[in-house]
Amino acid sequence: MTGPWAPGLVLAPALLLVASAAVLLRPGSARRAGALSLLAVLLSALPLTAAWVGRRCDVILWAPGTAEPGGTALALRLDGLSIPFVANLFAVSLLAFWYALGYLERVRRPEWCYSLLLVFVASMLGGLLADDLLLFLVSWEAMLLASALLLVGWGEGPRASAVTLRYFIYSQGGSLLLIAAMAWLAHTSGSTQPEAAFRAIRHQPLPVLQSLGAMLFVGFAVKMAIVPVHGWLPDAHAIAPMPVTILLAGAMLAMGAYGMLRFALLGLGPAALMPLQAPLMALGLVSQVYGAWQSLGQRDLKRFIAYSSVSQMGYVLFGIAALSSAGASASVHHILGHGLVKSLLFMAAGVVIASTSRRRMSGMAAIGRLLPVPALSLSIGLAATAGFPPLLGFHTEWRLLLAGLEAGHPLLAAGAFAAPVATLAYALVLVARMMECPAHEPPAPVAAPRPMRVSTGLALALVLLAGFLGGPLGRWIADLLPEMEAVL
Amino acid sequence: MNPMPAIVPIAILGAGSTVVYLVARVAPRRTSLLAALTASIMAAALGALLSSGPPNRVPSIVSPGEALFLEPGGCLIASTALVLGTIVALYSARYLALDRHPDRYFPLLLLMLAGTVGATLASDLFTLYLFVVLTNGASYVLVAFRRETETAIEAGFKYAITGTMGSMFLLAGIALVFRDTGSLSLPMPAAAPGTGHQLGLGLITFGLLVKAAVFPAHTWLPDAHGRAPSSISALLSGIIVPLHIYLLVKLAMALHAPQPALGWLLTALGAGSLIAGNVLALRQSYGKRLLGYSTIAQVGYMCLAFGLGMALGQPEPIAAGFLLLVGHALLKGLAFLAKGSLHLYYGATTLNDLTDLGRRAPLASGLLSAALLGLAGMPPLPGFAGKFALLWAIAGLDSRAAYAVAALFLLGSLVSLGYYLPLIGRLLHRAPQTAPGHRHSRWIHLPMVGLAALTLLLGVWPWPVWRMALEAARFLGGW
Amino acid sequence: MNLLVWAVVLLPLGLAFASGLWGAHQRVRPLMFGLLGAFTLALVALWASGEEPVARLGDLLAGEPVNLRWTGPAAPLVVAIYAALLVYIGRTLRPMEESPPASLAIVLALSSMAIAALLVDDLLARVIALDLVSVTVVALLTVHSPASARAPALWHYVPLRVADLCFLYVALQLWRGTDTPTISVALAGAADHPRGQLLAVTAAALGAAWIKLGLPPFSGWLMAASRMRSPARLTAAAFGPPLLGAYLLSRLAPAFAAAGPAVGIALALASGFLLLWGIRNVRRGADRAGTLLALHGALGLWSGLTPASGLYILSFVPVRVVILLLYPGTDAAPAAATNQAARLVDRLGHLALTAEAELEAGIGRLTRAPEALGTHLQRAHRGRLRENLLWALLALFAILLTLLVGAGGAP
Repeated sequence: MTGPWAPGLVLAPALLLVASAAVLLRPGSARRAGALSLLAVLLSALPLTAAWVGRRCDVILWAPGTAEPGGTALALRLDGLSIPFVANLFAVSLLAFWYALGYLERVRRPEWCYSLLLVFVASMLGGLLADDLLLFLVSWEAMLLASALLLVGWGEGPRASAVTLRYFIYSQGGSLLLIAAMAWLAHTSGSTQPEAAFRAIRHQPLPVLQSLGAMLFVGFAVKMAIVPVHGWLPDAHAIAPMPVTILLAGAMLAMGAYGMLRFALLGLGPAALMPLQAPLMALGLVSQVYGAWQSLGQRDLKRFIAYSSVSQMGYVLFGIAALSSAGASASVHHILGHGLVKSLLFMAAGVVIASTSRRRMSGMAAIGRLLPVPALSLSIGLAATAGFPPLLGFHTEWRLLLAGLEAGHPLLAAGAFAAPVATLAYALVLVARMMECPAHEPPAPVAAPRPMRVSTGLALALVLLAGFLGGPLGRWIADLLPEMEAVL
Repeated sequence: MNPMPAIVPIAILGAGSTVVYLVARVAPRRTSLLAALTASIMAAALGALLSSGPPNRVPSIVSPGEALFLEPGGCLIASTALVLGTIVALYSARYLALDRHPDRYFPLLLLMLAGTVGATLASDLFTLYLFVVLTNGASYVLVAFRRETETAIEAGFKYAITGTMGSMFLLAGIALVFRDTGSLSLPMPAAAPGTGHQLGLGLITFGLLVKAAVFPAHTWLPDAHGRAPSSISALLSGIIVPLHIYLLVKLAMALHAPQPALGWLLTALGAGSLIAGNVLALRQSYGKRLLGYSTIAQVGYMCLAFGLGMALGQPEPIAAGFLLLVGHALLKGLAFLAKGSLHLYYGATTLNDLTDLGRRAPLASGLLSAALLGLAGMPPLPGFAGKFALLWAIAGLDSRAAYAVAALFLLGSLVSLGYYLPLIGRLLHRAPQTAPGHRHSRWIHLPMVGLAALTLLLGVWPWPVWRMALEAARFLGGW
Repeated sequence: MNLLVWAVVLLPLGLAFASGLWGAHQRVRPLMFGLLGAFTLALVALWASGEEPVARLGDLLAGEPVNLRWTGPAAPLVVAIYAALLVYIGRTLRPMEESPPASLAIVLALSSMAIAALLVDDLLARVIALDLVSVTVVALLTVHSPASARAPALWHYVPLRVADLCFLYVALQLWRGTDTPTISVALAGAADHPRGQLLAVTAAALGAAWIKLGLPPFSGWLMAASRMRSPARLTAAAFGPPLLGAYLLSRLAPAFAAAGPAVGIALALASGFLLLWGIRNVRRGADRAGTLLALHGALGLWSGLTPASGLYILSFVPVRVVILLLYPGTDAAPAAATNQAARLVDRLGHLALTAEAELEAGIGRLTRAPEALGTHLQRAHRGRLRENLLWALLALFAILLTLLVGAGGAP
């Protein structure tokens, strides 16, 4: 155990799990369950905040069973790479649970929904804090299970089961690759602790390392919804209840990026992964453009925002594929921003849908006039996505493009300048639609539940703040991340 | 503490079956009493087995040398069988309440398990054959237990024909081996030159593969397990069918079969089982038949593991195979028992009948879902441990073919989601109006919960069993 | 002195806020006119004195300090901007030339951004300023469109953003070359880049300037701006993106010089094409103001190659203001270009849905393959017991064969 506040690392997920059971004990009102859940999230953020303020909190070992050779340990760790992701997770969870106070008022069995939401957050936190390959895999699968149960239990529409099946199979396909890669890693290195394991296999021949890297990248790319394995995302985001969508888009997609950074990039090192650079950059580009293109044509508001996530994850992959510290820190910064902006977009969209009972893009005309604050939130969120300075997207955009230029594939790097245009196009589609004058006067909107509106306001404030603090934020992240080149 | 002779567990089971039969004649309606008695006999046998310390010999009547020999692999499988048997016995207390002839059921159950334990402990070909036939004979009757129904008779008949054919080939193979080597004891001193020995070995292999329902001799299993009472299907699918794979590996090592060749053949057949089991299960609409095809696929995984270990001469894949076997036994047992309780109370046979049962029977549905997820390989259940162990073992093999096998294994695992998940989805599906649930008897629930707890324990803490499996694998192969 | 530089940039912005709060009052505009007039005289004096004060903004973006620098080349342009502002406000003093109050605020904000873009000495900060100028111009166009055409007017932002992205490429490449984002240093080292990269940089710079100068086929926004009836056109079309585009090219002269003759040849061809286009438009009679402005801007394309373009840059804003005064706006239906953009986006959207459906169909076929295989196998299973046993016996033959071969091979 090293670092002060070390027990906090165990306390945080444990608290969430205990809360998830506690919520089930009193199946009374949705409000009570929601308040308890929100409190649990806030409380579990405290020990972690104490752990990372100022200094990093490095290795924490809680190892009841290390007697076996290659046996696993319940080891947790909070270091420079996980801190931004944990921060993102808690910010998005806070917003999602606050929003859920209003959204989940009228669903059936709300206490089960909150319980599963807490398990979902706990599993993501476990994945971020895990310092052991098996623990990571268990958290990964628990994340899948919790989200699948949420989708099938509370998904809207008649296709919920089919969509969940598809999501499960896509995810599990990626997970199977990860399990195979990590089993190979565990056996060859004789250890299940990631740092030690990767250090031990450094001397393996390059083709072997590259195959391992390819398996890890593909496995995590499925979770990040990179084209062409993105098929699960639009439907899953569209049918899920809004708090689940917020967590899926804001936090779960980031887990894929975390996996890539921790295991593939930090673990294997940039030198071993060089031959994979061009294909990965190309995949990132394709994702950026394809996601944006698909957004243009969507007729449902939630699917529109969901495809925007596909495009944004393409940016992140592009940054990771630059295989440098600058690229990695730009990606992490982008993920942080994406979490906040996507939450804002979905929350504002939810307020619009709740107020006007309209989900089609064609029904968005005159929203600018009828619901000025949600429309403004949507516009700011879209402007942030499109890279409008001084909002969030701009800071990460130029950093990603710079990292791409430094990577040594001039054509691909130049192609990356085209993606923001596509992003702008779909952003303008919605903004223009909201400013349109409809053919007939739409009915007056109802007020959405208060927690939904308040949390959307909070999200807006966070997005603006993070945008204006973009420079310092980027520098903070760049300081936190370990040096990529030194991994050699 | 004095180690008990290895005969003691078998003797307990055999004598116990007589006792239970007599009690059943006296008090035919008291199923609970019979069930409790059966379960305690099995538990006693388990205790005797586990306390039979170091390898223990019992003289044989037909050959110089011993008839029974307690080795690590055998101990593992026999204990799993007895654990499962105890739980099934308790479960049958209520499950058979509507059936007649409990006086035949419980004794036959004990005899079947006696045969299983004996077969795993046998260290002599004749003894082995004897106990295999005992096991199978008891199971033929048990499969056709509900003989008032036509389908049960047909299934039992098909099973009996196929099983007997397998037994005949086994006997013929043993005879050929005996003729060539002049010895019946295991391990054989040396391989005999000449084709007779190999021919005999081939016949033995074939017989055991038929009994283990390995592709292409797998067609009898879905019918038999689909029509049998769920408690029997649990035991058959869980431990009896995979037992024959273990016997095959043991015999192949002991009779000096050409290991790489046989190993790759087993792997190939396992791959066939994997594919056939998984794709056919996708088309099933009857719950128990689906579980039967799932068994075929899982036995295919075990064949892959054992086959690779034999082919490449490493103990780790074989140990992974043992772990898969034990995990599958517990999970498949739980799945069948849970499905059976849904059948008992709600008449659920097809998948459509399972609609809304998640609300009406939450515990049984939850256990069934957990078992299915475990079979699909989700942590923290044993299926994940077995899967990880196999991949871990293959990583150490450094062979292209092994990697290809691993890829096939993963693909099969992915395809299997296509039939496990819709089943769970059916359970969670909400009907517009829900009928009330029935109260389940505690004889049904408690054994299932106990089994579930045991399964979870194995999933979360598999290392003791992994150590035993590794020891068993090393002992089998002499590494 | 530094305070003066701050005032240069922030005065129009402050006046914009003021007009937002008190724009309705009668006295506001004359007051502004007076204030701006006095300030302009002060700036002329500063220009004449030749001093170069600097105001420090801090290190906002990349850890390097960002300053506002009153440099020699930029000074006359800033004075010209203020002069144009004076003309604009002067026009709005007359009752018949009323504009909506928002228009005044946006024009003042636009001036502030344009001045900041000219004075800031950091590459990234300049990119930000250029982007803000683009947004302000689009906001102006939107505000001056009728309510039904407001939404389509937003699409003018797309080409301007493309131009900003091209300039971002130039900025990032220059930054990489000298490892510093300060403009003067980066430009000084511009000639040291490898040849291919230099060509790419000049091409991107030309592309950015092309769009910003409003040359076809990206002249939509310029035409829309010059068609506006309001005097606001005096500002957007005169010192908005076009001025910045020309200035950008003139500063990149060292890079252009080192790029080689290919650039010159390309420019010559482009100029010929533009001339033909211009003559056709002028003869047709539509959009005279816009066409003349575009042609005037086309001259700016050469400011990179001919460093003796000082007179052109000095006269840039006044010439354009004169053209705009000579050819007043007509407010004709402006929606042609943006409707085209909206239609293109619509078509792309439909194409996207078709592509998605195709992808789904393909993946669906893939996922149904195991089930299809199962159906095939199922047929083999429907046979009687006899047939099943015969299939099983196949395994026997396989086993025997394997064992015999295996045993034969082993010693």
